[in-house]
Amino acid sequence: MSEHGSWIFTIQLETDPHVIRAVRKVIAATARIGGARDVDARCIELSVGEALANARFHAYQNGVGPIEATVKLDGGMFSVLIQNDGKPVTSGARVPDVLGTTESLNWGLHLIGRMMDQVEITRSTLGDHGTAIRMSKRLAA
Amino acid sequence: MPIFRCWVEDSPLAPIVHVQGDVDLLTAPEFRACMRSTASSTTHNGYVVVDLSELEYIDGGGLRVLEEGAALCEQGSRELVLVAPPPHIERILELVQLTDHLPVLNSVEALSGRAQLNGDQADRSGFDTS
Repeated sequence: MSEHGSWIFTIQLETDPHVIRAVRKVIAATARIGGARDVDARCIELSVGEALANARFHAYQNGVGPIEATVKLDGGMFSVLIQNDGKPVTSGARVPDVLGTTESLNWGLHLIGRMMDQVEITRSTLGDHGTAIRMSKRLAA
Repeated sequence: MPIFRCWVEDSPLAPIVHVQGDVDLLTAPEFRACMRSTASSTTHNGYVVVDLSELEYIDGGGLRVLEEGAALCEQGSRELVLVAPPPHIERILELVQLTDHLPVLNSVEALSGRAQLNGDQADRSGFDTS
């Protein structure tokens, strides 16, 4: 076990904007407690905020729906798995590597891809339809 | 610091939109309203300044507000200028390539130098074409 320790917890929430704000701040604070530098905690906060906003806008059509967020610290790797049970992604979701000049609607996923070290988009295990995004960042020793 | 505050300062050189705290799902609408009214105002020519020095957090929705504000300014033949973003905000602006087409200055005071430079260039341009 590294100096960061290892632990895991799960939060159940809904995609209400007030809750999204609270949860991104809680997860950023958790990352700091786990040893994340300020710059890394800010990356994690933005990525969590974008993932939850995406779930609100796309999976729940700008409405409120259930989310499960699993936060894990495994040695120096901090990861957040966000799962929804909403409308499925229509095409294979991927994290864009580069942006075109008019692609501001893709900014959220693009930012997540640039802020985090690993990003994986899969099917959610919450239900039959939803999407899961797992985002990981290696914390500096 | 409050979670969010946005207000407009009517300075002699340009209107300055000050934004403080977090721009997120909850506060982006107020930021958008502030930017739209300032960027579409015909009171000022030249520049619209956005002071980012006390911005703590901005998400994709907030970044789109800046992009929309820049487009509104362009329609009115004005330029949106970003001022003093903290390093973590500047990195986000760079990642979505906003810094490729929006000038970023270190301070509001630096705008007067830019205005002077552009004025000189306009003068030279007028001279060259006359």
